[in-house]
Amino acid sequence: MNNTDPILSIKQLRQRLYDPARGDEFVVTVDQPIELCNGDFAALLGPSGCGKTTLLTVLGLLRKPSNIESNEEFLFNVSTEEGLNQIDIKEAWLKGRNSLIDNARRSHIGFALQSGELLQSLSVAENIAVPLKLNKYSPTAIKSRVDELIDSFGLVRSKVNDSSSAISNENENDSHASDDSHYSLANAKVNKLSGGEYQRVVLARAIAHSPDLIFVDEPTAALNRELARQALNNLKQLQNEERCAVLMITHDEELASEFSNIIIRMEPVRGKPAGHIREIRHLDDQTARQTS
Amino acid sequence: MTNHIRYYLFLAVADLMRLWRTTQNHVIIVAGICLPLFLLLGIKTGFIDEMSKELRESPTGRQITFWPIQDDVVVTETNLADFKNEIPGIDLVIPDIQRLVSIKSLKSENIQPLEVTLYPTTADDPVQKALGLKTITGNGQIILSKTVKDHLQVNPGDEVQITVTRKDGTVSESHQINEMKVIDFYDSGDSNSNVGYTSIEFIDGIEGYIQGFAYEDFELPALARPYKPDYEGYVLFSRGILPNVDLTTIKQLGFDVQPIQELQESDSLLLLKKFVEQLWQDGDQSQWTAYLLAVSSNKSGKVTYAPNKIKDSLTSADIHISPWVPPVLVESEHGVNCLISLDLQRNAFARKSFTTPGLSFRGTETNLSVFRISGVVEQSSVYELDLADIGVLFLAPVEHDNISERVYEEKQIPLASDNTKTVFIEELGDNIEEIEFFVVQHDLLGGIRDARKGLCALDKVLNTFTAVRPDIRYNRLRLYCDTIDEVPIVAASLVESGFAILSEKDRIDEIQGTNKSLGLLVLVVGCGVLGFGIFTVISVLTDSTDRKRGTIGILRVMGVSKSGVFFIVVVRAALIGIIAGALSIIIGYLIAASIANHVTVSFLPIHIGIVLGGAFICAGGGSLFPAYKASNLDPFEAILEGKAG
Repeated sequence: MNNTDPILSIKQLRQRLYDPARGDEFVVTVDQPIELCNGDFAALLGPSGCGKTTLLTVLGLLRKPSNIESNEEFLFNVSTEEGLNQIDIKEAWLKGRNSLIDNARRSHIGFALQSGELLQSLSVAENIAVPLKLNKYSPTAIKSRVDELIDSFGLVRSKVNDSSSAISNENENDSHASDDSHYSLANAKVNKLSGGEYQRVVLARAIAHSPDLIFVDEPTAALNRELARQALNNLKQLQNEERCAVLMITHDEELASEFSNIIIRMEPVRGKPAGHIREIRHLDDQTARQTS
Repeated sequence: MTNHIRYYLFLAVADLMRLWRTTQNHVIIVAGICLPLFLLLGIKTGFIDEMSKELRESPTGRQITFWPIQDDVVVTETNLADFKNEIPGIDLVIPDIQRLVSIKSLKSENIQPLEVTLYPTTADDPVQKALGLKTITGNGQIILSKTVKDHLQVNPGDEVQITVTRKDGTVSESHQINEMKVIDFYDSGDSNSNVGYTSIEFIDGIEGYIQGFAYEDFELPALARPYKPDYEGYVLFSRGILPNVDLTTIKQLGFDVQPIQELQESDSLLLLKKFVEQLWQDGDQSQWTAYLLAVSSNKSGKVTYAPNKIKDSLTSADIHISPWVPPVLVESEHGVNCLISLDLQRNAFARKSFTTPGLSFRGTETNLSVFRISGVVEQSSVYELDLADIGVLFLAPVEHDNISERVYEEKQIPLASDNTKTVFIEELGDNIEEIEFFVVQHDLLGGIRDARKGLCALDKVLNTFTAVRPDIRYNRLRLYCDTIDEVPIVAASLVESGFAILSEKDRIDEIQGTNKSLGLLVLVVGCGVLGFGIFTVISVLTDSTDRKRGTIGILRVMGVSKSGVFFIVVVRAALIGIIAGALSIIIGYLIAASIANHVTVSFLPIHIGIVLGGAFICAGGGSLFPAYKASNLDPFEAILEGKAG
């Protein structure tokens, strides 16, 4: 195992999902191998109802695949304190090693979900610190990392414009707290955040514990494209620094081509309550950079 | 794991305190359940307190006066302490006895002595405490009523003289006690109340004195009354052999009868046999037979027939009967001797057969202080001893069984001196033939025997054995229970143990009955409220949990375990319970204070515990199902549904 091994590698998977609304099952099939390596930014595209989110729950270890026995390969190659470590997810599910799955999800995966709630009882900094706390970082390390992320994601506000509207600050996401005219949102309550700030906190929390794999679900669902782009820019920048793989679910072709080097397209199976992967296309890194 | 628990605790507290607007509704609901319960408990206790106020404030409320009504039930100074331990709930037992004494002031000879009734008390006597009096801490202290104080013109700190009087037959004697100090006085409200209080020990000492015993603490002497020991049978001298009819009669009277020549069992019997042999050493043994009439073992152990009564019952004419007390071996400067007793009148026919018919078996003095002891073998040997000399003598065991089985009692009688030594016949071996006998009075032998049993002791002043003061028996006592609540239980125990009682039991029973009924009411209402509360909390928290599905979902997504979610929900609810309980208590106290003029509300520490515990159970217990439900939510579904919700 070396650094070039994919972080996520999965071959052949069928996920059945009972849909209580429709009263029948929906089947998602991974019939092409998916591999995500360090630095990859994959976009999962497809029309609504083709099973993108279902696939995300499987890849994100939120649900056990319904027929894991038929799966050919489901591997995580993650970095640990001892070095690179391979986790055979298929075997873990088969043997019912739920604690290993929980640990893998807690330590090596970050989630920025479409409806990724921030905890209302916690401040911005405390929300970002949640995965760090759960992964038993030291208080000093937590503070340092949280400050770094607040800075990186531009979670600051202008003192002058603060009283007018939070939205006005959303274009200032690149500004830094060190400026005397701005103040940090570290101690701000999450219900006082604007949409863009909220989304950036969600992304900051997803990457806080330096996971190997980050899932981003519909970043434009609650924001306009421009604000989403700014948030993703922050993420992309940190990804380049920290080296991890990102899988983003989106409907937005333009956003996908702008940030991704891998496009995974899903489509519904005609006449059946099912979805599958139509194509996986690796874009040239250069092309992606130019588009950006 | 510990880190996680601490963090989960933090999340629970943060959710509780920072989202107070949501939490406050839950707190209000639980407090609304606990507050009526708290007030109900306080009102109930207040009502009972009012009912029992008088009994609780007065010592008589928890007092029981009792006295034995069965012959086998005895309370003495020895078992008084045990008595308290045997029946739980008793705080203090004080004998309810009284002694009439004469008290004289030492201030002036012109003040007439006054007859005062003294009662016993102790340092913890609730009556004294209720009166605010100084406590009796020693034997020489006394508390007087105001009437006595005024008459004697004494003040606290003054000493008075007490005169005690006793009678023995027609003879009356008095003694004075000078060291009694007046430590306090009290106003009984009765101008004729010539009473005082002193220590139980002093009253017991006076009681013993009146019965004829010494009270050494105050140098009160014993009555000059010699100790009268019991005999253990008789020695019977008969001309010839007793006919069977007489032997049968003697047995019917309760004696085991055996010719002395046939005795062979124990030291004392062998000594008696040897003694009688010596008496007849050169005399006419064929005409007389000596018998030992020992009290039959199946009788009470006491001689119940006088010698004349036995004599009259028998057909034989020539009979002499002497009381029998087992002899003792002694060792003195004269060698090993035997003290033995025999009582034969000088004109007894049996003496004619003795080697020395004129022997004195009684001594020359009637006063027990001096004994004349005659050597039997050498009739000219006459010793004059007083009891103090007995102290240097060595005593053989007087209680014996068969020689091979006997158990020797090493205890020496109190008058034994440093050079004590026990001598047994078997130690003498063949020298038994050389034992000299000293005939002494029965009472001396019986005294030595009973002194070893602790029944009498040598009175050095009177130079005689006097009876040891038996335990004072109390015919009437008063006790104080820990609280009035114990009175019915203690009273029932006393009645069961054979005592008659006098107490406020009926009133206390009525109060306890009311308390029990109200307690049952509170219990029923409390259980109903608590049950209703748990259902309410389940409902409220289930709804609250549903609203937090998104939060729970993201926690699960980020790696919080199922048990972690369960813990957070339950801890949050338990904290709500504690806050609500505390709120109920504070509001309860405020309400109680505001209605204090109309209703007595009395809270006990246990009420606070009940309310806090109830709130904790109500909220914590009510959260179990919602917590279980929350911990089993599918993380992703929870986020999606929570967002939709």
